[in-house]
Amino acid sequence: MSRKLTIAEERLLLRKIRQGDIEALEILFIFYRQRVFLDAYLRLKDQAAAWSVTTEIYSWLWQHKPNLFPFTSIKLMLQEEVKKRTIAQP
Amino acid sequence: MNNEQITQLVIDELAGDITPEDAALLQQILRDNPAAVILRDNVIKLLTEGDMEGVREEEVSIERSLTQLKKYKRKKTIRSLGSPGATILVFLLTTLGAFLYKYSQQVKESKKTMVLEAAMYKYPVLLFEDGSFIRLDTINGNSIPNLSFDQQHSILSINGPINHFAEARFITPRGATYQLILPDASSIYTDGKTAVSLFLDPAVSSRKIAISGQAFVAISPDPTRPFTVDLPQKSSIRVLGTSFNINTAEQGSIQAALKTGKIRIENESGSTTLEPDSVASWQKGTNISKAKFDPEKVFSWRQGTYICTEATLRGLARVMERCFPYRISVDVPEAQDQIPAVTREMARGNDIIHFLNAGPLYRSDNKFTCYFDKDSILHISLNHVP
Repeated sequence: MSRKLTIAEERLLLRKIRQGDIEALEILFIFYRQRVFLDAYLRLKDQAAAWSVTTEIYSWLWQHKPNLFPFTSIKLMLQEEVKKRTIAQP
Repeated sequence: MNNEQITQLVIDELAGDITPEDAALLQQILRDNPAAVILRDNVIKLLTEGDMEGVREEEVSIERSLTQLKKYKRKKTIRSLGSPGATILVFLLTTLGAFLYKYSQQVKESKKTMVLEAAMYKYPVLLFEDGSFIRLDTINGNSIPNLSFDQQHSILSINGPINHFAEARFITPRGATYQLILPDASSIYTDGKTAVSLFLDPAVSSRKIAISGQAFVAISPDPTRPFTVDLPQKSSIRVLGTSFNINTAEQGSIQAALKTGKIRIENESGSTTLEPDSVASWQKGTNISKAKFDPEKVFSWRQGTYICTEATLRGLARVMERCFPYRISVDVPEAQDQIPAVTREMARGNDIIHFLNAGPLYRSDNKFTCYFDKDSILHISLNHVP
């Protein structure tokens, strides 16, 4: 990627997602999907399962959008979600 | 800094998402800690070689992705300018038109992906290389050229290219089996949560499919056109006319059980020829081992009976997802799920509750418990966890 999202941009995205803006979620997906996929693959060693976890996390973000408030960073939140889901992955 | 944190930095590095500060920190760690160098090499190897070779996604232009975000920002700025801003708004919208069009195409693509993911493993799906797909449960008879789907008997027949595509991927939902009839009259009986990549063109010179999951394959003989089944972990099967069962997740191994004919199996460690009533199994980097098998056990899934013998909880969950239409989540740390002690039998079409109530997961052990969450995902967890 040519550059990272700034904290302000991340917060703007999260606000848009909370307001129900699917396109904001898509932007987030475009930014972080490769990282999330690599992280999941490293834990699962299975491409299909890693993609499944990746997309599942974004579905979860959408379903839980009212509770998405600024935290340390989106990256850390996604990291935690990958960890949770890969521990639980059958 | 622990291994987890170093690994995350290496992922950032590979994803091109590392800050200058983090890059400097990683370099410092690599200089000071030889174990970190080995860890980094291993992570890079895992994410760039073997199954992952060439898989990592192409770089996505951040500027393109940000177009929409910029639009929001500009709208906000323009509003604050008051009425004279209308002229600027028109100007900006015109100049951004081309960019927004491109972006809308990208958004459309992303939406398509998300809709597909929502349908994955819930409905039978035929997926094409451009990301478009057909949900087979929504089509009627022969409404799509070269494709017919018998809803009642779950039989999918393909007679030629569909929507101009010569290849497709058939993905089955959890807890349902299908019969897939290929253009050359070969039949593939697919188990639940299974993916089969297949050719659609009857005139193809080399018949090739790929399987991930469980399937029983009955190949139509054609000496002029060999039939190859690609399998995970760089392994494959070459056949002429034969029938066999494939399970790519048999307790951590790939398993091929031959019913009739002859097949040749190849993997990274070598190759072997299989005779009828023999089963071959292998894992990544291991030699192929052969044995006789119990047909009742291996083929029983086709009659709706799943026999899970000496499996871990994760192994049991994999079988359950094929038998029942539910996602199973094993919330037990892997370290506590190493003993292959679960032996259970389950029947497709039966209520999963009936199966769960039939006895403890582990014989005479109430260490584990099960519950459904609000999304109908079945969780298997340690008994003391609420």
